[in-house]
Amino acid sequence: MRPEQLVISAFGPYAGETTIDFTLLGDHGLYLITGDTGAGKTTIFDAITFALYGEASGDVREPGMFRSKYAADDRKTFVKLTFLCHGKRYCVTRNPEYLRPKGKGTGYTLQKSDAELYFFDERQPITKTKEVTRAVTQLLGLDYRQFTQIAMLAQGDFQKLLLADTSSRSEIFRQLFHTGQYQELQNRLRDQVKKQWAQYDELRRSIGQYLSGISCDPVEGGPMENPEKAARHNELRAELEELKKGKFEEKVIRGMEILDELLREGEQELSDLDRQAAEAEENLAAEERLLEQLARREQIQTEQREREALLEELEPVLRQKEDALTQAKQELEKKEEISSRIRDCQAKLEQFAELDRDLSRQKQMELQIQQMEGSQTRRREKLEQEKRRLTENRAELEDLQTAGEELQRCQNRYDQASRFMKHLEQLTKQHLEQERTLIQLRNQNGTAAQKEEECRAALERTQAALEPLQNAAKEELEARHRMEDMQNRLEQIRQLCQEFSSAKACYQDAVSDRNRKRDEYQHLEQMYFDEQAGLLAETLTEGNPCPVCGSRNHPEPARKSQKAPDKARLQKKKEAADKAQELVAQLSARGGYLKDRIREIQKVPIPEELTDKNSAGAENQSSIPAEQAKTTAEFVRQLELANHLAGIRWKQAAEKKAGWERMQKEEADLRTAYDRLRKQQELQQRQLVSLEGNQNAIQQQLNQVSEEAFCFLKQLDCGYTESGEPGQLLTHFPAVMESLEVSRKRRQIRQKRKKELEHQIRIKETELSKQEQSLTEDAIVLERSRTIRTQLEEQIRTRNMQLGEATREDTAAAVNKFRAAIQEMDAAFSRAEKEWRTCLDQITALRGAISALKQQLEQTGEGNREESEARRLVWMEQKDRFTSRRAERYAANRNNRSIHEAVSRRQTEMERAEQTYVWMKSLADTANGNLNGKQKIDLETYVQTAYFDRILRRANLRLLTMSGGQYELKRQKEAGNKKEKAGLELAVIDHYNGSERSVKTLSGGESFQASLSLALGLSDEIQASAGGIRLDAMFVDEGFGSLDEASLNQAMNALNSLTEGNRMVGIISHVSELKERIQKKILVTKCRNTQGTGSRAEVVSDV
Amino acid sequence: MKFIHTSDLHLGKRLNEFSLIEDQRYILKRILDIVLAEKADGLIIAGDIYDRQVPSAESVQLLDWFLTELAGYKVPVFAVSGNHDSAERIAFGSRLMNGRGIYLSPVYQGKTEKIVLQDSFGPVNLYLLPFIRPSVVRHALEEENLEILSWQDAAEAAVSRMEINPEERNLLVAHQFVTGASRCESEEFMVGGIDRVDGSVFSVFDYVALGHIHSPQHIGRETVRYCGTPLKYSFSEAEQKKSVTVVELQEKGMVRLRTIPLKPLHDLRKIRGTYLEVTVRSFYEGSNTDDYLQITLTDEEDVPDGMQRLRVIYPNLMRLEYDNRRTRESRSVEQVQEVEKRSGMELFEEFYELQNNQPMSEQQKKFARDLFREIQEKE
Repeated sequence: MRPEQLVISAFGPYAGETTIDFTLLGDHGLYLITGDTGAGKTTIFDAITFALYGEASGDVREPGMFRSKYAADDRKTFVKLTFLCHGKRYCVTRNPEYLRPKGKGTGYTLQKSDAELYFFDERQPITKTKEVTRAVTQLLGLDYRQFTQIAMLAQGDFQKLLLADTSSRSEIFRQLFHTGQYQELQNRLRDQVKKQWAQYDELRRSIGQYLSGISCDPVEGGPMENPEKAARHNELRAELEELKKGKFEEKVIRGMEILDELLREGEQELSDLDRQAAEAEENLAAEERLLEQLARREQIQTEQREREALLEELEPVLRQKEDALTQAKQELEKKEEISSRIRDCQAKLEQFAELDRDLSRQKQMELQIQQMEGSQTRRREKLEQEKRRLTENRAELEDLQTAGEELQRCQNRYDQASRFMKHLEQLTKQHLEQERTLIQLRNQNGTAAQKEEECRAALERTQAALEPLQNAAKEELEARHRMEDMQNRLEQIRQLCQEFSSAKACYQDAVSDRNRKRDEYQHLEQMYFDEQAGLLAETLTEGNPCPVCGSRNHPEPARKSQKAPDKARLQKKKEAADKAQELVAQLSARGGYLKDRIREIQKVPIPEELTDKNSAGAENQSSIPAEQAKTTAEFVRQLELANHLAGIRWKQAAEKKAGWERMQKEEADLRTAYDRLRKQQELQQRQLVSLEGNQNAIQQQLNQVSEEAFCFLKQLDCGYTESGEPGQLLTHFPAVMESLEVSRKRRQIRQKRKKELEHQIRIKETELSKQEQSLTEDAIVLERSRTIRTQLEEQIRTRNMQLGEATREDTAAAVNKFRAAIQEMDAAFSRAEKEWRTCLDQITALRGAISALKQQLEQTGEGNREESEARRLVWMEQKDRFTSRRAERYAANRNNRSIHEAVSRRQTEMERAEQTYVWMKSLADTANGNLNGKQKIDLETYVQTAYFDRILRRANLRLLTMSGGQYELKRQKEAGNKKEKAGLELAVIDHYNGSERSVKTLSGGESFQASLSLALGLSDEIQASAGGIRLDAMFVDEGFGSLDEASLNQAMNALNSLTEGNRMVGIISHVSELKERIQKKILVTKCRNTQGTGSRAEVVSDV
Repeated sequence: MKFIHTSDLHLGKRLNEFSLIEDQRYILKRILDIVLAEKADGLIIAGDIYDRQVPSAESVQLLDWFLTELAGYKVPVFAVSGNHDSAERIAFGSRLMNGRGIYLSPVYQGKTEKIVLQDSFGPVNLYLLPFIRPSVVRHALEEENLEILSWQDAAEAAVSRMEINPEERNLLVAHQFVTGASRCESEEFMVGGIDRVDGSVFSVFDYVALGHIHSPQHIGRETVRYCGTPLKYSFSEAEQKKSVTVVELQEKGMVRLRTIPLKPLHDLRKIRGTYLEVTVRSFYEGSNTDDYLQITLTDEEDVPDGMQRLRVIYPNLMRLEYDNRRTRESRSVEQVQEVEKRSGMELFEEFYELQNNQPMSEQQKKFARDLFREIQEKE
């Protein structure tokens, strides 16, 4: 987001309409907004933030406060910001809510807040404040809170980011680095765990419910006679009642145990009851069976009597049927006769059929024979024709026999001729080429030899010149050393001389001072001594002896003069004098020491060649030793001279050395050139020799070949009688070859024709033989057909004779009549037989049934019916009782069993649900940071720490520079207490004493540095993490006042490095250094003049 | 005619919270001695006399003492204001001081007066050009309606108005950034402008005494020269040898230059080593432990109370730095590019293991993976 133009109207301290053109400030770099206090600097930032988001830049002001109190009533309050984002231009206009005068009438009305975002392409502008804010947030990628923490560091608020706690930092990072999905995951996990817990709980409760349905009846009498068992049962029942009351909380297992026992009991009882019921059943069944048997006996007897009656009826019927059957048999014998007559008629019919067939065959034969005879004659004619042609072809073939050999001979000759020609051509070419190269090479050789000579001469010359300069290097070195030595000594001596003169002056001063002091002292001493008498006189008393003379009379004691010094003063003077004396001694010693040093230096003589022979007193130098003859000053002068000379000598020597080096190089170059040339020369020589050898060989070959060609031509006998010279041969050859070519072609044609003819003849011959064969075959077939024909005629004649007059139809009718008669006879017979048989069967069946019944009767026993009936009733009653009791028990048991199954099923489910709950809970707790005893770091925070670390690394780069290597930010891994959320806390490391402490301990200026670095680090990271958020502009409001000069420099450096590329950073500050350093400014001034109060903003680009 | 050329005194400068006023006093005394020893005909101070626009009281006193001494020895002084100075404050009293041979550059108004000195070869014209920037020149030459947009234009306009006689010897004292100069840490750059001037602008002068760059060097020809600061003002200058330049103008066309080295009261240098190495007696015995030092410790861990303890041995320790793996790493953020982009699932597994000291079970992994996929699909 880069602002281009800002229009402020009646906003804050700006009474009128003010336009600020940011494009005048360039497209990157720092600019400063400066002005008096209260002029409206922060308001510019407020205006930008308000235009974008509808809020002020800091926490302090609110949008309702923006209406300018200096503005005229009719001026509207609004802000219009034109800015670039991602290369596109947008314009957002916004006004806050404020009171304005009504259009009509008096009083004020509320102007609602409104906003508009205008696109510069065809899209519709967006209106309504919330919509516009949302659109802007989307465009920029930052919402209001992030903007104020990253791109706009407001007055007093820059510490927000530094001192924020984990949860607010976490929120910011969530937006910026899109970690919202982890939060979502956390929430989902939490929900899932709740659901899982609900499931588990439900299962548990349903189990409880089931168990309450266990049925347990009190013990009755009857089968459960066992008193022990009864007691136990009652116990269980009591316990069960208790548990039911408590709804089986926690006692599910105990409930299951009771159930099991109850089940077992029930089973047992059931089996007992079953057994008893079964017994009763058996007895009942036995009785019933007995009753049945008796009933059956009666039945059988009645049946038997019926059957016997039937039997008597049927017997006479049988006898009737037998008679009918014998009659039918007799009829059947007539059948044979009729059938023989049928046979005769049939035979006759056959004969008729055969006759027809023969007639037809005869006709066929006739036709065939005619056909065959016709074809035979035709084919014979054709055959004759073919034979004649064949003989013609054979005659032609004879002629062409010899064509092949001739062709062969011609071909040979042609080939040879061509070979010769080619060979000759090749050889002559080679020869010419070789000649040419030989000549070239000879020339080259000559020039090379010349060059070699020249080179050798030059080399000798250079070597000669080099001789005398051998020692140049060594000389130069010596000269240089000497010069330096001279220089050093000169320096030293100069210094020493200076020091010596100063020392001498000091010494003299000291001497005079000492003398003075000594005189003073002596004078005082004298006075003191003089006064001794006066002092002594003080102690004199009349009558006491005087210490000096012993008299006891002191008529005139001496008097102390006023100026008498006392001992102390005297002492002091003495000390002063002594000190002066010491000083003198010291200084003289020093003077002596310096002089010695000078003399030492002078001792070392100046080398001969560096003395100037023309100086004064030169004649004396050689004879008198140096230290005595020269005064120091002279020595210095001479030293200077020597210095100068040494310098000159050195330069000379250096030049000589340079010349020598150059010569050496030349010589080396020439040597290499000479060697190269010589080698080349040898090479060329060798080449020449080889080439000449080649040439000779080729010549010989050429001669040989031309001889052979000549012989060949003579052989050909084509009229070539000239010499065997290769050149001439060559010219003649083509003609020869042409003629050979022509004859060869002719011979080829004849050869071809011969082959064709041979082929054709062969084919024809085979054809002809085939044809003849087929003809003979056909003749045979014809003969055979003729014989068949005669046979057939014979056959027809005989048949006709046989048949006589009888016709076909008559015979056929007779046959049919006879057949029908036979059929009738058969039918009658079979009917009679059937009837007889059925009757017989019936009778036998009846007899069998009667005998069976008799048998049965014997089997069944006797008995009394009523008795049996009574017993049966008794058994029945018993059985019913048992069965009903059993049914009850069974029902109860089944109920319990089903409960048991349901519960155990539910139990497994519940266990599974519990397990799932356990691991889900651990997962959710970990993700939400709720683990006991551990830091409260949730998953999202953990992910954000990686980003935070990167941000800190970048921030530390700047902070280290800004604080001169002292401070560095570090992420604290643990929170202050384990109750709050942790993970994104900051601490600062002080490298000067290697300690770590909280961020809140930094001073105002230091925390400004830290906040600035953090904000820059954050903006860097946002840019780098490709979120599509580009921060092209940054705004820093105050804070620089807390920095001293050096830190201010560093902060400027840091901000300036930020503007590399395409960023603009705006600073509000009143620090004067910044005013001088930064040339691009927006000056905000308050005007208080006749036009009213208000502020103005002006862009100054003072490059 | 012999001049001593010096510049960039930066009186009143504070370096790493140390006041250098005593060192500056000492070095000014040394320069004074050299001027007297060489019997120079003038001292040139080519700008940045003070370190700040409004200098501190003691730096004003120091300059006062210096100029008074030089005037007492009848050595003329030729000084211009630089970019750190306030031109108006430097020019205060300049017209009054001209009478005693102290020539200070005025605020640039368009015309540069020459100062003429005489010697055996003829007159020597000195021109004093204070630090100018385009806006200043534009303002001064407003009536002439010139197009002055760049620093180059400004310099050319100023030089063209100087009325120079090329037959005579001309010497310019200026304070600008000439293209081709190499910089060091203690110089200040101009925020928001391109402040280079090409050396060809000064081609007509026999010698150009320049100030502004802190290391001694010449630009193009030897007679366009920065003499450098008399003291080392930053640690990037620690290896340089500071000097003043002695300029001898003989007949027209003959300029001889040499340098005289300056030895400061406290040297500025760098020390490097581990804490133990640096504090062992044999290391520092014999060296000047009073010097202003920057110590680079190569220990891997921060030395507790390092600054205090080192100050016991080296009382004038200015800066303490660490050069170890950690700092080298943190310098190279750009190389540590991508924290490998790990998937959400991997991060969760890592986090779980960290918090619970055991890895996730298979069921948990599957569950989490499904949830993730759901969430990602929804986005």
